[in-house]
Amino acid sequence: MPSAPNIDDHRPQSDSDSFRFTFSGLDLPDSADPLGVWQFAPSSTTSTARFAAQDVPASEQDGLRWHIELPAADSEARAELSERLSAVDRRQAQLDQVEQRLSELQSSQLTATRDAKIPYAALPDPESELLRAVAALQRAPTAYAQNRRDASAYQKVLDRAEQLLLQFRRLVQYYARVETAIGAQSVGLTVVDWSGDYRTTWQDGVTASELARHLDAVRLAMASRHALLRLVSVVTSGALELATKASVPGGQVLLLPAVYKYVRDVLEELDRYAESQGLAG
Amino acid sequence: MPDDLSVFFEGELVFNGINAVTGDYGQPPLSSEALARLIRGTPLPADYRAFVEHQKKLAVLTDVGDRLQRVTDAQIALRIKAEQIRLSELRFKAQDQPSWPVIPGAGDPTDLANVGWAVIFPAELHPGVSEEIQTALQPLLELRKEQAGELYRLLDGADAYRPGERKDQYFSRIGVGPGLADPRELPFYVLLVGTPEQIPYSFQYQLDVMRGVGRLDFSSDIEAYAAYAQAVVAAERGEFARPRRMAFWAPKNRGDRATEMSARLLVRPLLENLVGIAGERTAMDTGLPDLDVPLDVDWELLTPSGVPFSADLSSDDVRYATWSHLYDLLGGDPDQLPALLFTASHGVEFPANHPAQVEEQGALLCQDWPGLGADVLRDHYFTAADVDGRADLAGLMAVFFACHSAGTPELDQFASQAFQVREKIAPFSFTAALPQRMLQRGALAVLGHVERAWGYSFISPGGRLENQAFVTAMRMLMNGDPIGMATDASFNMRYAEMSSDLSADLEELKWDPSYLDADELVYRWTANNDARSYVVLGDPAARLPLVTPETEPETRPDLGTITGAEPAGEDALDVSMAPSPQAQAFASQIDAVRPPTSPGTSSATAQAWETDRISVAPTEAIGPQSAIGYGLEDQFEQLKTSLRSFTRQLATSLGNAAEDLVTLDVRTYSAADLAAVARALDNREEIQATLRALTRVEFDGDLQVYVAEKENQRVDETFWAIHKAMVEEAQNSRANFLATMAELATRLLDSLRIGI
Repeated sequence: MPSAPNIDDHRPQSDSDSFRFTFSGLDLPDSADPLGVWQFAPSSTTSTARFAAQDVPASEQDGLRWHIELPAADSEARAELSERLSAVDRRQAQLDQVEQRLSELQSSQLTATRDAKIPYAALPDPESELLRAVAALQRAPTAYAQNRRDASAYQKVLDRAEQLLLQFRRLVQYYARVETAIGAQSVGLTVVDWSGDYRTTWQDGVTASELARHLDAVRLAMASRHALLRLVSVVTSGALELATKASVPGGQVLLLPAVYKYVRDVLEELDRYAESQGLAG
Repeated sequence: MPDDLSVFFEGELVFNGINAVTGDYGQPPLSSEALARLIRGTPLPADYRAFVEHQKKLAVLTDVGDRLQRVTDAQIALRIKAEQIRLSELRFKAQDQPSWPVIPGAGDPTDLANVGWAVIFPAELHPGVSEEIQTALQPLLELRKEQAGELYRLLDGADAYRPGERKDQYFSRIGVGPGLADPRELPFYVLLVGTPEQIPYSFQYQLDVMRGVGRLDFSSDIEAYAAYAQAVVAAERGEFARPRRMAFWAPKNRGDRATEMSARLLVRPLLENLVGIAGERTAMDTGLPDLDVPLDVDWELLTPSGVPFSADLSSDDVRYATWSHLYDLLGGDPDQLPALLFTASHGVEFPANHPAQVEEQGALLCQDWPGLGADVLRDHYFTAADVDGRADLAGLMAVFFACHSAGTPELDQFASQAFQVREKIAPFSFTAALPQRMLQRGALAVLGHVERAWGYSFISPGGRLENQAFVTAMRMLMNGDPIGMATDASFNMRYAEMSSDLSADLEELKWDPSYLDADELVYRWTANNDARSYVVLGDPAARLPLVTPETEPETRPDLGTITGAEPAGEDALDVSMAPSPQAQAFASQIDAVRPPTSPGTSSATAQAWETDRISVAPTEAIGPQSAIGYGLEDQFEQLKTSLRSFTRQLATSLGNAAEDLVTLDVRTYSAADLAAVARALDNREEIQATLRALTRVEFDGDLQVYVAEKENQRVDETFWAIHKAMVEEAQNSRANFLATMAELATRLLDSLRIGI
């Protein structure tokens, strides 16, 4: 899967040295942020392939963590934060489009069509790929009972679904922590627990503008969390409806990876389109 | 290693073989590190104590006293010498020669005229008894003489095997050189006649390296020898033929990783492989040539449940690996008798000298046994006495992957290697009763295991399936090759290679303890022992008497056929149908929500999209239960459980949040060292910070605000402003968050409601 465009992809290296927007605590496929705003940092606690309820801790230290490093020049910092917040807002709007497109696909009856009769070549790439995945899962029980290769492929689907579900759980269960550093100096740290309580600690002596940038950073982080939750909602409900329509054995859970990829692909398509039109990407 | 396989290597390793007295593993579970120490012969005191405690426990159970005995230096020296000779041949076979242990120019090794046939009697046998046995075997001996011509040999009298002889000593005495089999000196196919006390298993192992060896051991039951000889002759004279039907039987006992492994990692892949080779499996697109021995014609492959192998095979079929099903397969129901039977199970074992040991050790433990730790009752395992007295097993061959399924030596090889002690695990070496009984009832050969079978031998620590020996042996048998050749090209070759490598590994480990990790050493050692200990009971030149395709009855069921979905892909696209309204509607609907000139989608594609044809047909629903097999069902079920757990967790959390909604706390602190605060959070330590403001938003909208004053009793306006902004942010964030969570929970609960 190609990585979704990221704001940092378009930034000259010299500029990006002074900005750092990292996000850790989730291991989404390809370690890429579907919002295109954050750089995913490796997390030692998210690589567990298997899990049970007790494996998902809810402590602050294991939670989602946004770390923002800003340059000392306040105007640049403010502009950057604003741009990224706009990007997240656009993603929210794009998710509406994705959901609508997914809904149309589901109501098209193509999902109830036999694999051999689907005009894959005539469909947009994301739809085509999703329907191929659906068809593969439809015949998976028979196919994978026949040889190890198919069983191995099926195993991969199970693994991916399991991993994705784990990440979804982490997203909704964990504490969130936002740290802001300006000019290499930590200025603010906010912990948000699941019920929404905020605890913010400031470095003594911070300036008003530094306080304001940390507040912006918190807004950006929380907006990102909401957008990711919205994405999870689109993926899970999309997988559910597809599973129902297409009679996929194993249903919703097996389709999670395919639908997640579909959502990513459509978002990427929308980004490319915006870019080609000279719109903000 | 795939996660679903790694579970077999987690914790302690378990071994095949259930002690019928304790209901527990015959060999207590060991960590791979401990087993590696024992393999290297460097046990810790704790290892030895555990070993002795186990022996004491068994001794108490059977009241047989101390069965341990130190090996003398002389015995060790003799063993080392024998090992050196054996290894030199193994290396020769594994590395220096191509693939066949017969001298070049001998010709087709399946033809006895090229490679010969010999029978060896033990010198220990009373001459009168030996003569009686030879008389009983006369039809078989005549047949082999006819087939082998000048290369037929009967080794008795002065050429008989003498007690205590190693192979090299015996060869030297009868004028046979080491190395490749020269049929003029000693034919390739060699039948040993006698008990393992008269001709020990160690001799059979050594001889097997360069020969195809089998054993007939009916003790002094002359009639049994006669019956066996008649059965082989009848089969080879074409007096009957068996349909090409192979049956599998493989229990998975509760709580038992050993049978879980054999069912999942041995039986299932073997079945799959054989079906694929029969040309009825979905083509594998590996890009590599298929180097498996091809099957000449299709076979009917019956799963453990007794049904033809098919795509909807479920793991539930293990429940059919019962005593009664095995009874039917072994002649209880003549219609179910296969030509080839493959079983994978525990063999029951007993403490040494237990009254049931000689008659029942190596009997096959069935699915009827409730599971690990449960009492093993007599009707939980299938033994010689259970073969129906009227059973006609003519033409049958069987392969038993089970401990002691071919026999039991008097002394435990494992204890000898690990602790330099001789552990008597039986009053004397003996052949398992079940295969003996089967051979008496017309079966041609049984390939079984002497001592323990090691399940870890068919899966490497890297998760690589190592079943090639089984695959090769089965396919050669199915093609009608002699069993001695089938095992030589499979297990014996594997033994040669593994043993040669292992000896080098153990030598290297003396100098470099990190040369191999424990898992890899355990794998190589168990694989080596496993390959060595398969022995053929019966004539090694026996072959399955199969119906030829030309003579097959027309009514032969077309089994082994795979039912699968239609081939997928665009090649199968039917473009002749009219466009459906749904397709057109969909196209326009998608257009409305997708970029008009999306890169990656060409205009030609867009055109085709609108004009292409589709038809709508409901997809046949396949129940999730169909997606069972390969052990993936456990992971699949776990995944579904996780989804349900996730959803319920979400709902519960939302419920809790509803209670928390009565208040929203926003606290603002300041600290002299913010980095220290971050570290404290990481370490779950107390945070050193000063509370500067607290706002508690009550559910009814009331606000409680606490603000610290500066020294001049004035509020820090800057802090206050940012705190107020943070409160606003917290309120918005919570509202958005809960709304999204509620939506997500609702959707997930929908999925639970409809049972997805």
